[in-house]
Order: sequence, then C-alpha cells, then structure tokens
Amino acid sequence: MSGWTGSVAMLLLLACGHSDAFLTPNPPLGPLTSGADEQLTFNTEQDYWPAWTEDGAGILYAFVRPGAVPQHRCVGLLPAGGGSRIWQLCDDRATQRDSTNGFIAYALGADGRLLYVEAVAQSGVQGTAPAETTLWLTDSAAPFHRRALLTIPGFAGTTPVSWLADIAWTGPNTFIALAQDFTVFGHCKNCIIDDSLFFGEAVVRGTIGAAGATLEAVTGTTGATSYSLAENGASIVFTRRDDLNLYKVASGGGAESVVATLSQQLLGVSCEESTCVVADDPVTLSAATLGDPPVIFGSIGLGPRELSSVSLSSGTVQSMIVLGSSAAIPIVATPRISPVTGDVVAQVGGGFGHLQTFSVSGSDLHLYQHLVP
Amino acid sequence: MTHSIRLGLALVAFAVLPLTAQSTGGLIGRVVDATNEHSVRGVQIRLDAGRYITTTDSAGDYRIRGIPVGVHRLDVTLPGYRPERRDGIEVRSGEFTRADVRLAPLAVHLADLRAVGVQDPVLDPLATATEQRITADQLRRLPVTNLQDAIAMQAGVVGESFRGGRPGEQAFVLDGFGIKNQLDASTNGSAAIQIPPDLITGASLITNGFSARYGQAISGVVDVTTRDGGDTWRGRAAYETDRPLSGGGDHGIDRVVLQADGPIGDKIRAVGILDLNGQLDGDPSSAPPPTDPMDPRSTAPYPLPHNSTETYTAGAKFTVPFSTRVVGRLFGLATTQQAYLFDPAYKYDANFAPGSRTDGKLFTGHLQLLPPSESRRPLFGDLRVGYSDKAFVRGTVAAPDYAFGAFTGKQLHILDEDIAKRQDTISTRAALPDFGTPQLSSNSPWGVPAFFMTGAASGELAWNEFSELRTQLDATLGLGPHVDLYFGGMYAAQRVKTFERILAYLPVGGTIPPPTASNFSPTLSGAYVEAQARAGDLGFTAGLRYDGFSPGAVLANTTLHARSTLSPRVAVSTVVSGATFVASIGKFSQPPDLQYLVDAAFDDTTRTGRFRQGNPNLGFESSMQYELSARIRLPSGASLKINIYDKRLDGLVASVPINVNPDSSVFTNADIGTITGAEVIVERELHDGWGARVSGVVQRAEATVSNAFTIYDQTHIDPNTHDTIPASRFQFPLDYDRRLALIAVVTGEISAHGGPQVAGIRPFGGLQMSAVGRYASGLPYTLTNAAGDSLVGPVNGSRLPGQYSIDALFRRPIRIGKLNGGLYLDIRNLLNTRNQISVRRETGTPFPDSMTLTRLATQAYQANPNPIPYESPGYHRSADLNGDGVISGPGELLPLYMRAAADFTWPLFIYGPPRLVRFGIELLF
Repeated sequence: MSGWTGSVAMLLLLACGHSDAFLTPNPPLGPLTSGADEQLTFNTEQDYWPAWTEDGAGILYAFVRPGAVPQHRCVGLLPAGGGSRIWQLCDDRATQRDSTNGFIAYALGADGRLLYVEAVAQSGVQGTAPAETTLWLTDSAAPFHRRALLTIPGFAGTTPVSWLADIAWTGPNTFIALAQDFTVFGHCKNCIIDDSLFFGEAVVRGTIGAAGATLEAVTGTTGATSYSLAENGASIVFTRRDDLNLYKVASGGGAESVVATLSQQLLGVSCEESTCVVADDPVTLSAATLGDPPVIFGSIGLGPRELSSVSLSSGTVQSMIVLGSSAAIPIVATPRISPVTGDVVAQVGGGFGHLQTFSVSGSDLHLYQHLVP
Repeated sequence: MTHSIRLGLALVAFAVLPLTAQSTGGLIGRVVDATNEHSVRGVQIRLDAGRYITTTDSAGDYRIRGIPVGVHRLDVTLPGYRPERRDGIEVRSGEFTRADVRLAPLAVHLADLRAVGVQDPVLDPLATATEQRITADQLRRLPVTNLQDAIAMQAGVVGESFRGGRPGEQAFVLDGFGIKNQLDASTNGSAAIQIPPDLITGASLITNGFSARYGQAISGVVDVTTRDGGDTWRGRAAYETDRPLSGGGDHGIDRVVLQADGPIGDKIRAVGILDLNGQLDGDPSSAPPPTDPMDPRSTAPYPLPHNSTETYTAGAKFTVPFSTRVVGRLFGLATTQQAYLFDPAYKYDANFAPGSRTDGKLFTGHLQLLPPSESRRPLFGDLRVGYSDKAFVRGTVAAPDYAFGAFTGKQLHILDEDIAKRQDTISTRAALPDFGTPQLSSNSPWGVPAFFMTGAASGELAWNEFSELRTQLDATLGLGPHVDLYFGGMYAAQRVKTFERILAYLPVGGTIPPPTASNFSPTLSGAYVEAQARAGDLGFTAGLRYDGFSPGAVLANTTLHARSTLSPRVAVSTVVSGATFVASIGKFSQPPDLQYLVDAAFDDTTRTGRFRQGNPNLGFESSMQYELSARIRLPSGASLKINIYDKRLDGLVASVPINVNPDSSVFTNADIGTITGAEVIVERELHDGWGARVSGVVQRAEATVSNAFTIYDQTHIDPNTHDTIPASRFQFPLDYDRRLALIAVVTGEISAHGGPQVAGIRPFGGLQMSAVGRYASGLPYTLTNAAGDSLVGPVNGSRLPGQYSIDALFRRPIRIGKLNGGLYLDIRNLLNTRNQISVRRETGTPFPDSMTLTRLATQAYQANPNPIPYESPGYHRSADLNGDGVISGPGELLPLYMRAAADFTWPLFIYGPPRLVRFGIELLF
C-alpha cells in the first residue's frame, strides 16, 4: 500500500464505514482535473491553509461549508492526488450552536494522532476576538475525546501569543508552529464590518508533557508571518510582513540571515531540503488615518501572482508558476511541498492572512505536480 | 396383550367449562365386565402411578377432576380381573376425557379394550364459551414461532384486536394465573414475557362468554397451560436459521431452543427452557425495491439497516406433590427483548436511530388442594401468588456491536436512562447535555441536506415500569354429577413509574412539551361466583363478577376514589336434533390502561398535538356481548360451528380537547363502539393422515375513534347562536375493522413407511406437512388533503386492498445415533405476496403523487440551496450538468432534491413482511 500509511489509511477505513452500505453511498472520486495545475477544491466558500499529513498521504485544509449556520470553519482531508474529501471535522455539537468554531491549525501524524487548535467565538457579534482558543491533542478516530494542552492567549517565554498557525509534528511529543498576535480593526470609521489583522510574533517549538504543552520561541524568528523547516530540519526559513526578504535561522535559534530578496510580498514559504517555494504576490499593506481610530488596510495590485523557487544554497530565485498579472487573477498563498512527491499545494484566490471572513471571491486549493524535483 | 384405546375423533372428550382454573381437565368413564357388559363397582382407577386415585361407583362410573393438561397413564385394577394400563390418555384444558374400560376376568381371554364415546364434545351443552383451542401438537405442526402466531390463525383475530376490539382489551391466563400489562397494553402489547411454544401443552382463545372468573378483559382471554415435568428426563434442542440463503432470503434469523423436563428425586418434577431468538431484519418489509439506480436499496433491498431484534427467554417450573391432596408449583419466566429500530430519517446514518429494551419477569407460586378420592362433594382449591414486572425504555443507542447474527450478548443501554429512572422532571426541562442536535444529512446518495438526519438522535427518552403482586384464590365445588359451583377472588397491588421526554436536545418551551413523569400505586380487586348446571340436554350457566379498581396515591392534587363494577353473565344451551345451540349474554369490564391516568408526551405524526393530560378519574371500559352459537357434528366426523355476535362497547378512552389547541386534550371515557359479526368454523381433526380447519368471519366494527390518542371531537359550536352542540354519537369503521377474513389450515402426515422408496430409504416417511392460507379484506383508512389536516370524505371511508398469504411447514423425522430428531423447513408468505397494509392518506396509494414530491423537494431546496463542490462526499458527476466541479443552482440541485424526496417517501412499511424461510434441526432426547 505504497503512499498510504497509518493515518490516511485509517481514515479511509473510517470513511468507508463498515458493512452498512448506506454510510458511504457515493464511492470516493479521483481528481476532477489533471495536469500541471490541478484544482483540488471547488467550494464556493473559503478553502485555505493547506497542510500535508506527516506521511504525505493526504492534504489537510480548512473550509467553510456553503450556507452553514453558524459558519464553522471545518478541517477536511483530501487524498494526496485530489478527489473526494475522505474525512472532515466540524464542531457541530449542540453546545456550539451559539458560537462560530474554527479549526485554525492542525497536524495529523502517521499513527492517527491529531493536534489541532480550535477557536470559538460568539456568533453574530462583530468586533470580538474568539472567546476560547485551545490547542487539543486527540486521535482522528474520536476527535472530541481530547485533551487540552494549551489555551491562548498566552506566552511563549516572553513572547505574547494570541494565535497559533501552521502547526506540524516534529516528534512523538514535539511540534512546531507559528505564533501570532492579532487585533481587530474597524474596516472604516463607520463600518459595521471589522477586519482581523495578524502580526507575526515568532516561530515556536512546543513540547507536550503530562501537564500540557509549553511553547518556546525560536530566537531570531521575531515577526515571522510564515515559516518552514528546511535542510532536513537543520534550519528554519521564514518570511515577515512588508518584508521582501526570505530569512533563515538555525533550527535551534540564533541570528537570522537573508537567503534571498524578492520583488513582491511573500505570502507563504515551504521548503524541502535546500529548495524552497514561496508565494509572492503584488500585495501591499498600508496604514491610513481615515478617522479615529486609525485603520490598516491592504490592496492587491497588478503584477504576477506566482510561485517561485528559492535555492537555500545559492539564493537563486526562479519563477515556477505564474497565474497571471491582471487584477482579475486571484492571488496565491500558503504553498506546501509534499514530503514525498515534490507536489506543491497552494491556496489560490480569496484574501490573505489567517482569519478570513469574507467570501466574495472564495479560495480553492490547487495542486502543482512535481514542482520541486 | 394390551391394546390402545382408540381415541378416534376426540369422541372421548367433551367440554365443560373449566373445572378448576383453565389449567386442568378431567377424566370420566365407566367400567364394565367384558364378558357380560355389566357395570363393575369398586374398581380402582389410578392415574399417573397413583397421583390420582378413585373407585367406580355402583353404576360402574368414575370421575376424576383437576388433572393437569397433558398426556397421562391410566391403570385400572380389581381383584379377579386382569389389570389394564393405558398410556396416552390426553386430558385437555377444561374438558372431561372419557375413557371407558372393559375389564376381562382373569379366567377369560382379554378382549379389546376400547372406548365407548358417549358425549361428543362439540355437542356438550355445558360448553357455552366461544373458545378456539390450540394444542401442543398444533404448535409443533403449524408454521408458528410463538403463541402470538398461533393466536393469529384463529377466527376473529386481527393482530392484537379480538373480534373488533381495540388492542389491549384482552387478558392472559397462564396456568390459571391472570396476567395483564395494565400500564399500556393498548399501545405496547399485552405482556412483556414471551411464552415459548415448547413450554406450552395447550392454549385457547376465548372471545365471548368467558367465565366470571376472568376480569381485566372485554374482547378476549388467551388461556395458556404449561407443561409439568415428566417421569423421565426428556428434552429438545433445536436451531433454526435462514443464514444459508443468499441475497434477499437471508434476514439474519437465528434461533436456539433448549428444553428439558424430568424428575428431581422421586417426587419433584422440573421443566426448564431457554429460547434465544435473533433477527437482523427484525421488522422486514416486502416493499418493492427502489427504481432509482443510485439508491443502494435498488439492488439490495434487504435487510433494512438498524432493524434488528434479539429476544432472550428463560423459564423454569417445579411441581412438588406434598401429599396426595396438596400439590405445589413454582414457576418463573423472564424475557428480555432488545431492538434496534429502523427510522427512515436516519436511513443513511443508521447509528443515530433509536433502540428499545423491554424486560419482563413473572414468578408464581401455586398451591393446589385436591379433594379426597371418595368425596361426594369434591372441593378443589387453588391459591396462587405471583409477582410480575415489566420495564421498558426507548431512546438513543450506540452503534450495535453484534457478537453472532443479531445477538449482541449485552444489555442494550439507552442514553440517559438513569435520568429517566430518577424521574427528574425539573432538571430535564433544560436541554440534556448528552444529547446532540440532529442535522440534515448529506450522506445520502443525493448529497443534498434534505429529509435525512445525522449528527445526533431525535432526542426521545421514554421509560416506564409496571410491577404487580397478585394473590388469587379459586375454588370449585362439585354439588353433584351435574352441578358445579365456582367462586373466588383476587387482589393485586401494582406500581407504576413513567418518564417521557421528547426533543431532549432542546429546552422546554414553545412547541417543546415538558417532560412527564408519574409514580403511583393502583390496586385491583375482583371476586366472582358462578354456577353451572346440566339437566339432560339443557345447560345453564350464570355468573356474577365484581371488579374494583383504585388508582392509588394522589394524582394532580385530586382526591381519588376507588371505583367498582358488577358484571353478570348468563348462558343457556341445549341440544336439538343433533346440534347444540347456545345463547349468552354477558357484561365484561376492564380498568383503562394506567398510562391514560397520567400525562403523555409523544412525537406527533398524526397532527393531533404532542401532549395529552392524564385523567386519574377514568372509569372502567365495558362491553355487553350477545351471542348465538350453533355447533353440529357432521356425518363425516367433522364439526361445524356458527357464531353470531353483537358487542356494545362503552366508556372507551379517547382524547377530548378542552380548547382549540390539540395539546390541551385530556383522556376521558368518551368513546362507544358497536361490533356485529358471524363466524363459521369447519374442522376435521387430524386422523387417517390429514386434518383441516376452515374459518370465515364477516364482521363490522365501528366506534368514534380507534385509539385513546385520537381526538374525540363531537362537540360543535353553532356559528350563529354560539351554542355548544353535542353531536349525535356517530360511529365510524375502526382502523381494525376487517369485514371478511378466511383462514384455511391443512395438516397432513405420511406414515413412517409411506411414500416412495429411493435407494432403500423412504425420504418422505414420517413427513409432517401443514399449510395455512389466509385471505382478509382490507382495513379502512381516511383520505386527507395534501397537508394532512383536513379530511376528504368520511372517516375511515376508504378501504385498503385485500391481503392473502400462505405459510407452510415441513418436518421430517430423522435419527442421529441413538437420538431422534427432525429437520424442518418453515416458510412464511410462501408466494412472497406483497400485501399492502397501509396507505398514504393524501393519495390513497402507497406512493405520493408528483405534486407532493415537488412540494417537498422545493421546500427542501429553498431551505438549503447551497452548492455542492466536487470534493464534498455528496458530489456526483451525473448531477454536475455543466461539469464545472460544482453542483449549483436549481437546474442542477432541484433534481437531486426530487430524488431525495422520492427516496424519503418510499413506502417501506406500507407493505407487510416478505417471504421468510428458515431451516431447522432438532434433537429429541
């Protein structure tokens, strides 16, 4: 059963149910499209934050179900090559009917152990941060029989943490994640819609013990807005907001160094050994005083929406996938390289950042096959 | 050399009303000298090695009463004569078996010993009850699994409705001890215990003219006699199944029966039984397979998911003769039935469908006093004490964990049943935290969130427990050879506890009714006196029964009073020109189901509200029954019985609204009913290799409502004067008003040496065969409009189509080593007839019309018009007409909602069960 191990195989069994034919009346489908750029999802709502499972056999991602009330953010699992979703987790428990629940970070181990962060916010109330954000440890077979490891906001050492993203297993009891801080801003002085804006804090390493999990910031990664382990775990590569540089630091921390400088905003990085893939888009953030209080807003301009490769050894930047340059072309973000095949999955369309609430254009996942040799 | 007594066409047996209680019969006869036919006085008559002893009188006559039903051994001795022994003397419940004996003097060569029939039981004028008997032999020969199957073959039976009465108007008598589920027999059956056929020596269904000994019934009495242990150990082990069949033939049936009886020491006799019955497709339907190829049931319609039942029954009985005149019996029976219930809304997420568990127990002690053998006025006494308990719970269950077939081997646990048993109606007003909220499911083949549910169960939690401690004393006094007097009484202390909560995932308020609970201790009492006399060919029976009922405790801050009723019964019979005519008039009363004394909350599917107020002041339900019967022995030896009856029901419980809100309705004794009918039964008992029984019933059963939950709304407000106008008590056909029913039962057997011979064996030697054919006219129903809230035409003015079926059983004896046994093939609904037992009331057909489907689909689409993306498990290519990876818009989504609507409304339980085949093997030792 090459390519299918532990977690995904187990989840496939779960998805197939047992002898009762009615549980899965529709056989799972393979990918709809094929080719170098394969669209994986077609949701009219948001699909975002892709992450490979530890064994590379599947793609986890967050999605919003069309028409769902409340609009919970669910996490789903796609096969590595695309096709029908084979597993999903939505917090539809009766006690959660009055809240919006989002799975904002998730990591699935080869043995089925599941690490996820769930944020719970009161439904229908604008301008408030989630009331509860918790890091949970569980098993994918029974995801609500879980153990709370950490509640945030909290601290990683002296680094304030109000958000965790891009979590990944690094060992049986260790993980790595992106710590962020966020605030809620009025979209405009008299707007009733609020935006959430994230500020990168640092890459953090987590250790799970009997009392829960502890976080420790990796020195030299202050302000990171996206990251990736590289060079077989020896280093951490990361980006910063409004910074066109790609940085690298030793995995244990230390002084950062610039790997390369690109020409556009970096909206995500993923590395495999010495090759990294970055999403760079013509996005700008600016502060403006349109009233009191001041607001920060971003804009998407003309310019290539592209995936570029960066060599860690030489710093060479090469454009690999260009979606287009016109205003109608959606942006690309959060690329993730498969740990097995060199395929890259990325989020195409929609907004950016780590808390999207609008669904004007929607965003979908795309798979770029064999992008990284 | 001895010769068997030829019992012939049961000429040796004739019926009188039961001697003691209905668990015994009697033996009479005359002994004559074989050389000169003169009566012989002083002959010792011993039955069962001296358990019963008497002597002949000056006329050579003898009489023994109070003999347990079954087969006995007769010994006849007198010095100077050759003693005679006969095995196989069959005594039937409530009958005297006649066994005349011709004794040969020792000096004379033994002549044939033969019976001389004097009185035909069909013609006995003292048999005034309308009674249909079922013997142990019939239970074995006929395609029946339990007693209920055998009862269903009798004339006048429609499910649990006897002669047009509501379900629950009957009582059970087990070895003379009255049993009734007084809590909710009308909705949940008469008793929680199941009596395995292997434990039964005889049963009878009495539908009119039943003795004043019986109370708590207005439609019928089922009288069952269980076997006593024999003098040698014997038993039966059997296993039957349908698992070898493939495809739709396998409904997951497995049944194991282990029965044994025999002596413990010199005197004690014991019987034990274990009956385990599992069926994966517990409530199978012969509905046609869906025609939509995407529906998984289109190719595999059986079994339905989450539709299994498992029943465990264990019983034991000990008979202890303390002396020649005092016999004690201890009996215990326990049944647990667990069911995973199919719910169409959870068809694709079956593990959220509900389950139920029913536990029943019965323990009885019986002390029987027999008169001295020479007593001129024999007095029989029976003291019985019994405890019965029934507990029922229904609600959310975990996914079944089957160990073997439908057997889980574990107790089925209902979510939060401990809360229900605590009867906490305060904290349960809030949403119960263990209950999730069900949502619309997209797991169906259609992928759209419509009609089918998932995520959590429906939120029902129902529990009740009914227990009773009953003491019963019956006496029979023989006042001469032709007069018997019966008298006695009973007292029962009962306990009722209930709890009901629906939609438990939501707090009480708005349309969500509050939880209901009750805890009270009613009592029942009864006393009777009845006399039976015969003068030549004239028989008289007169009885009077007193019944008392007290709800017990304080209910709804109301002072409750005990209530009572008197029920006289009279019957006159005579033999004229070789036929017996019986005329009977009787009043019968029963207390109402105790469930109507307390509030009820239920999931409404009939648009009559979800709540009923209990009424602790309910009184007796009653009936007056008039019947004329004629019984004729035909020249061929067959019997012909014709019964014409009229029943007037009164005080039946119905729901009466207090104001316009249906949830304001309260239970009251408001309903009346009229049932008239005629039965014709022709019967040829099994002899010379075959027997048959054909019965036909024409009947008309009407009332205002068919069950207590139906709204009785006969009061109108004059729109002009605003006066309250009670309407005339107009009656409609009842839901179980079957106008015509025909049943034919044919049995046959081939002798051990009969049939063709193949390779030295006779494959059909000893083969027993039986077939039961039924035809029944359709039950009535009421047409409504599409919304179901307005009637179209008269109440129950339409009729379902008629139904027919054929059942068959074949049994071939075999020998395995030193053990005898048998192989059998049991086939129900041999022709796989698709009988329609219900209908959609807005169309009068099993299927909804296209307008209904369109309306359902459109409403569902408008409630959830969301697109289905490619990666969603609900997506399938055939619905994505433009191939863009999203099923969206009415053009692509609405067809899916139409197909989902057709799936949801597929008429599963509008049809009766399909053909069910089971193979069995048994060993007899």
